[in-house]
Amino acid sequence: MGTHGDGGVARRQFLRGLGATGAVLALPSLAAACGNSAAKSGGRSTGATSTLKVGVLTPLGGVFETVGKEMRNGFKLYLDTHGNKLGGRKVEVVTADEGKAPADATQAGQRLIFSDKVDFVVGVVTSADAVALRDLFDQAKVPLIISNANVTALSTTAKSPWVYRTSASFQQQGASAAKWFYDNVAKSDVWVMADDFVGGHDIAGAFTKAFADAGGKVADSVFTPFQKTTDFQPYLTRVRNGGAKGVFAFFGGSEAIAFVKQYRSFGLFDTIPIAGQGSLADSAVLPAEQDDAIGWRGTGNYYVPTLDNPTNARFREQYTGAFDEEPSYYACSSYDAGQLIDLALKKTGGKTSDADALVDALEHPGEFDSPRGQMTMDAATHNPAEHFYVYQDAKENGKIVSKVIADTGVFTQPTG
Amino acid sequence: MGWLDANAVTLVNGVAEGMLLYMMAAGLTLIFGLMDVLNLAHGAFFLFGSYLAFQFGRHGNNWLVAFGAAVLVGAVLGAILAVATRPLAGRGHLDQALLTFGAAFVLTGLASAVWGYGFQSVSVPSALAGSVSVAGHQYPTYRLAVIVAGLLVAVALFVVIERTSAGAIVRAAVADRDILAAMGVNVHLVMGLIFVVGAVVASVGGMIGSPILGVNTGVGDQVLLLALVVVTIGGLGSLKGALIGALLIGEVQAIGTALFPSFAAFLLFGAMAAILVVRPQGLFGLVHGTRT
Repeated sequence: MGTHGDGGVARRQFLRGLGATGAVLALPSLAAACGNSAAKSGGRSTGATSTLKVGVLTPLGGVFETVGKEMRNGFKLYLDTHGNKLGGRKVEVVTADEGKAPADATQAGQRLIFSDKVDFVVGVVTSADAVALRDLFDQAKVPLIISNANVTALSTTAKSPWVYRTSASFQQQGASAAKWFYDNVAKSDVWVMADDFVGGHDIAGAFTKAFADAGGKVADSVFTPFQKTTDFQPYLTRVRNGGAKGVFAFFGGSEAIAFVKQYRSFGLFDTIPIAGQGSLADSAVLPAEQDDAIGWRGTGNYYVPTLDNPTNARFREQYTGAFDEEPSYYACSSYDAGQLIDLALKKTGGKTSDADALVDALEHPGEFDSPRGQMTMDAATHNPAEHFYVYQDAKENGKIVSKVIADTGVFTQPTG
Repeated sequence: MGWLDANAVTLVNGVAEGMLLYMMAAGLTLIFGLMDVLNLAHGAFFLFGSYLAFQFGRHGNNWLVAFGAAVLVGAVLGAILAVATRPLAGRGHLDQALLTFGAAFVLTGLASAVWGYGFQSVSVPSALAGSVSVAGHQYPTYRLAVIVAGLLVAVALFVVIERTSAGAIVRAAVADRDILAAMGVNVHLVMGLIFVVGAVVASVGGMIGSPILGVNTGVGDQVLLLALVVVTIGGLGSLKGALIGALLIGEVQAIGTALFPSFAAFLLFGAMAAILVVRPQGLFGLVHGTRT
């Protein structure tokens, strides 16, 4: 009771309480950091006829639960439609939880490699997890097929013979949008808005450079606090006061929803033309954005469910039949992660014992039969050489759908 | 004129953000000032309010139900925490911080068990959809409504606390609860009611703020941190301080982010530090038992 009548003492105790809060907050991460245990290596099956073990490493809960489910579904669909065989070998799937932080993901990765002794691992949602897993797979010489995490460095400075990607790099996505943006949205006084994290800077940087190559000029860039921004008003006011004639943006998840809604409600949608990375208004966020997404244009998409090609028609029918929902790009790239293993093992005759032969086969798997259209593996970056598409959202029969309006051509991740 | 014209929308937006912060800080400052309890679970009230808005108002047609649910759930949670923290009233703020922080974890876990971890969003009620013109620029109607709602709450709390006999008892409890108890007033009941009122205001604030702040399990902590800054600036136990502090922080955030984006976070805590240097007890804090 001593604090009554003495504001100074009360405040000190109050602040001390805050300090205690900080200490409590720090505990879980400490526990997680101590949780890793060393595991021993052992021989895995390398024969061409025995069962092939594939680890599927995705979040089983948390913020990325839905993304994880779509990735598992996409991979499962490839197995189900190919007799549960990859490269002629029967497949046993080992599911592991990517968890909430890189420490969880590396722990799960160690278990898959050293105790489950899997031959391949597919999955990985977040870039932070992918970076943390890179050394583990590089040293264990077990192929990791990333079917989402877009961090560019894994294709350039941190490239490994044992790490591949079937989605796309951030730089690929940003660069692919530039020429189309120049022709269709704005040419000068363009502002770039993105999240303040490695992916935001990657996409913004690649766009800015490619936009200059196309003859355009980016006036300024705005980076907002990553996964913390709910109110974009101050940033939108800056862009408007800066005299922007066009905006290129990149946000995802709840930030994408807030951004798309606020860009319209603050009156910018009708005055400053905008287009941005597909995650702004794709199927994951459309149910929340509703009519605010109408007319929105999304760039840098390697897959859009409405793509018109025979493989996608079949894929879409099979996927909706099996899981009762439209496939996302997460599902497509995980389907193709299965396909990459399949194509590579067909080249090695089903064997994983010869490391050089296996790496060579993963680097040169040949043409994919992908729902996204034409696709090969770029041996120089371990990243797909693929088309990127632009969609525009429209309302059809009371439902908002993303319709493909442009194919910006094939892009590969630049080396170095 | 030029600067004002260019930043009018930002200034208005700072007021809207300040009002949301006020609804969070009002309960926090009352509970601390009156009961001497540092309630770190206060963010959970806000969190539940925002999830109830998501539950009932996500299609823009059940906002009255959402409001009723926010009041009810806020009251129940507030009553539970009031009872739970009573034995700790004399045990120092570290014990209280641990208990209420644990309660915040439990409540956040409960919310994620019911609604999942995903980031959700809530559409504004259809009557308040769209934009109006503020100084020649479009501004969302809903945010103006938030300002009005915040002002209503502020006026209501002010009238009750400053102009009614029930409010006089509350003020007496802040000043000297032992004398009040000696006069035959059930101080524990008064404290419990204040806890409940604070929780209800925070829960309603969460409901009102959900279309702006989004709905996810982190929103409670995010607002709690800012509200703690507001309470520290405004002075512990002062409703007036909570209002002025909330508006100040709302403006510092809005203007800071618009004009000096790299320094926005520094400006926030810089403002707090500057005020505490000049007035260590906060703007309207108690000094030696006198109300300013």
